[in-house]
Amino acid sequence: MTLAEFKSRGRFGCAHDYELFGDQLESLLERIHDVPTARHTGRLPGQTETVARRRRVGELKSRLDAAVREENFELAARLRDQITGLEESADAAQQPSSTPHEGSEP
Amino acid sequence: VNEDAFEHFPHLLGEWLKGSGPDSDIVISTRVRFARNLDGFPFTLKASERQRGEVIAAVQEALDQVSLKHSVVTLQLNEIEDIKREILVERHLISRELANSEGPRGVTFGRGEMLSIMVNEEDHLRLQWIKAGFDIDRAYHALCKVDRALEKVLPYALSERFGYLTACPTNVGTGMRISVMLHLPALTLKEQVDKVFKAAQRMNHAVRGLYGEGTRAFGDMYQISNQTTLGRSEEAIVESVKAIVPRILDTERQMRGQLYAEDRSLLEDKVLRALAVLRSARRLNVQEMMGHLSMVRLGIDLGVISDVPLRLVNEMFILGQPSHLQESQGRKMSADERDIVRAEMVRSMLATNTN
Repeated sequence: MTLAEFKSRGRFGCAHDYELFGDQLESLLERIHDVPTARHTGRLPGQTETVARRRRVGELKSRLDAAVREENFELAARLRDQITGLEESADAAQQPSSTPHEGSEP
Repeated sequence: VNEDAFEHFPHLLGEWLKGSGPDSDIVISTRVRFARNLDGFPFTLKASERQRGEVIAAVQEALDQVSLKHSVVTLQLNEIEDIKREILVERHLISRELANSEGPRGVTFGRGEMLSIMVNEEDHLRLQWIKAGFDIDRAYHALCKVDRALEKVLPYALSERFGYLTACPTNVGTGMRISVMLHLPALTLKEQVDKVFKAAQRMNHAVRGLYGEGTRAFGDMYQISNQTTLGRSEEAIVESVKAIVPRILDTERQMRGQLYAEDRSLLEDKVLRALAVLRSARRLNVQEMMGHLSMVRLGIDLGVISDVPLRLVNEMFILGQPSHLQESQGRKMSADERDIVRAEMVRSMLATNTN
């Protein structure tokens, strides 16, 4: 799929398109999702939430360091918020949960 | 399993319509949805007929492997009549888009109609779990279980950078959408819904009318959902919806109280007239029915109506939809005919089910 084709349809043709347009996509995705960096910070298959989160926090922190070095303080502030958000949800997840699990349907 | 699935549809309703669950005075249901695609296939819109067939086969095999196949019903949507697809839409088991699209596509759902797995929607897989009331945790955890079983046997399309890859960039990342269905009659009567919409939008949540076109919501039913899926973890999305919905509930409850306090007789009149129309009308179109049911629901919450169970209101709401009505009669009907049959059905349901 070409970028023009994507722009006219608003849909990708296959998973490969994300790789193909990756760098051109970032700003679009950042705008759509209102985030400072277009990076997945959720879970991936086979991961526990804790592992996923630790990895994302690590990644965001190195981006934060880079932003501070470049004196891009606006980006740094937003990254810091994103990191705080992830760490807070980690804290919430560590609380003993009484959430009832429901497996199969009646 | 195919056709008998429809036998109970005109009578029995899914678990989420029982009118219970947390905050059931306002929240009808909570739905969590994951968008997933299979690696190695083009997304549905670009997939050939044969590839779509292969996706269906792969999903079926996976469901078999995770032994989900026995408690569920699977339908090949391209092989059933239009009206049956419409019924599935009315029951929220499939999307309007899936019903109207072409080619090999299907749905697998649980007998309680909480779990639904759409195949070859815009994404290869759309997994959803619906619970009655405001109950994100239960819906989310139940759906995670299904997703985690499937991820062991299905190769999902992924990237480290962007997470779960989806046909539309608005779903990429977690692929997760939480939608809470709300009944907001007081906010609607007070013309405050727009304000709530705008506040939700500022927090990256979308609110839309669930029935009806554009901004006019029939039956005062609205749906609020998270708008962003990338750059936030699943937990963060759960927390954000958990933070915003109670604010809307507070405002709606406040407005209900205000309406009642300001002019009790006016409100009682509105509510009881609505019930009287439902009990007596000889013709009811679907918008009218939904409008009156909305007032009756409000009346039940305010204690003005005590002899109609909430479950019955939900039942009339769904069973009175056009395709359910036609299925119950076993034939196609004109809009006029439907209005007559709908009025009959509502009258008799109210006569036999009230306390």
